[in-house]
Amino acid sequence: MVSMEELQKKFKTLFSEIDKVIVGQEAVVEQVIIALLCNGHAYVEGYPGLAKTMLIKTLAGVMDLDFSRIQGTPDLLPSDITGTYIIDESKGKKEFKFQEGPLFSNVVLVDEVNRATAKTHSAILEAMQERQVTIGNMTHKLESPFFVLATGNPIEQEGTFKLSEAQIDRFLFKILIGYPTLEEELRIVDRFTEQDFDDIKIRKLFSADELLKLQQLVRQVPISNDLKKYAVDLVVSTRNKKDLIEYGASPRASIAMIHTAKARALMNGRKYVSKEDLQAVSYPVLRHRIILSFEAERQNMTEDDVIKQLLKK
Amino acid sequence: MEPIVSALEELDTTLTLLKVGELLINTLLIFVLLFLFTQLFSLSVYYALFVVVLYFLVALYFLFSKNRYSLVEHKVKDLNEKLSTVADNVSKVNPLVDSLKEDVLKGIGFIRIGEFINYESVALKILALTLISVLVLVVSFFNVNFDFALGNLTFSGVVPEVGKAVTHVSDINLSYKEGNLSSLLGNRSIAQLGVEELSFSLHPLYSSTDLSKIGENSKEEFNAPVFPKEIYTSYELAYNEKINKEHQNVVKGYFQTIAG
Repeated sequence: MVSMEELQKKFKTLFSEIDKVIVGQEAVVEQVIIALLCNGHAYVEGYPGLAKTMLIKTLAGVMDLDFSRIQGTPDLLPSDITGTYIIDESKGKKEFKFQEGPLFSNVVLVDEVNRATAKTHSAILEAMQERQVTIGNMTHKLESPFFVLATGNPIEQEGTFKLSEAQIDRFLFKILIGYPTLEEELRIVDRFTEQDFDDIKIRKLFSADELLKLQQLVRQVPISNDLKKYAVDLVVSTRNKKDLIEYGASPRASIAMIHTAKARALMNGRKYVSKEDLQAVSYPVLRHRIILSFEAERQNMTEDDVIKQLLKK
Repeated sequence: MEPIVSALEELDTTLTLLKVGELLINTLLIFVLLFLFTQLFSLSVYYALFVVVLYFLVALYFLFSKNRYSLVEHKVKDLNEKLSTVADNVSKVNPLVDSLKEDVLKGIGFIRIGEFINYESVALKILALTLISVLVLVVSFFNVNFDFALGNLTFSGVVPEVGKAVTHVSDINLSYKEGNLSSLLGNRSIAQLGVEELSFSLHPLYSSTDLSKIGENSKEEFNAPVFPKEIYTSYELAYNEKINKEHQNVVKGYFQTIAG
């Protein structure tokens, strides 16, 4: 087993490699890596041009994983992403051959997932949940590790197909990506006006096998009973805060809280989960799993404001 | 047994003993304080006992339901959150838990039990305990209490005769409460009835006696006195009470009436 010091050093190097491309957005990078370590999927919401694609592409590069990109459009068909059977005539006779779609990758970026139709959503979600795709009567297993990063645009909602609550619950994290600060933006401008993105050399730090081992290791991180109770209490409190939350989070949120807190602890070189880990992951875990009440909306509160209130208790 | 298990058990026992000891001091302090209160206001000592037992049980429940390791974690920053985690996962075996166990075992070596005793607080509590105990003795010795007889809080004062040689029973000016005489004078409401006839009836349903079989009282004649001559009634001033002067004749008359 790799020592915690070595692991922490490796994660630091990972962050610095990503920093070569992505300026700032440390919290977003951290949350994406946590989702990857937990063998989960993430939904990223942010305005266009905030380096969402670049982030996931860089991460796939650092992790030495296959990367594919799907652009969500209303005419996107499930077979466009899962793959389909084509007639192969290369061996002198006609036979059906399965042509894999972009879902057959380790890291899949589904850009503007809400622009795709419900049928395509269900194909993506089957892949996310079951880690397999079904074409006709044939089921094809997806290779591990498998990580989907779906992005959504909070503006331009016309002609979009909103993911249902049940569908969005499948994502481990909902990550909000905001605008960079002035200093960060100056650094971005300097960096990308002086050199091309392709010129930036990124080291491969983790192999797919190493990532799978890390995913196993995350599950072994111990957590105290008090903190376990704290996490579950927090999730349960979302169901009881009727004045601000119409529908609270499911037990899947409790699992996600503890699992992601373990990953965060490991990433920070700790062999145990701390309260700080739980508080940090509570926002991306809960924000897409609660539905605010009319009263909360009337007060112009966001999901994060409500979670903050719950954490203060 | 794993070294970490025995270390945790030892730590838990020590912390439990410390906390129980502190709880006992607190309980004793509360009891003495309440005892003083019951003495001053002539209340039953059972009130004090009841409150103290209740406090002790509730505090004991919270003591055992609370994570005692958090106490150590607050004091020893190096063990913060590690100790509870190891204690809760002591049966698990994996590289991370094993490594954490080693770290905690090292950390336990740096714990100084003296840090968990607040000497200043304990000294103050013992001092308070001593002072209140002395106060209880003084209050008991001089029979100090507050009298509610007039509905107001009044101070009955220190018995002046105490300390002097008691030569006669009537010398002692006993302070009393009206309720204390009920065993001698009977129920006040009945006493007020005086010579009036008392009329009551038995409800047939609530009586074990078959009322239908009870006829008129038969008149019994007694020929000779059956009591020996040596038995006679008399009255004597057995004690000197604080009865207002205008009521003294009424009381005296009452006793004479009942003495025949």
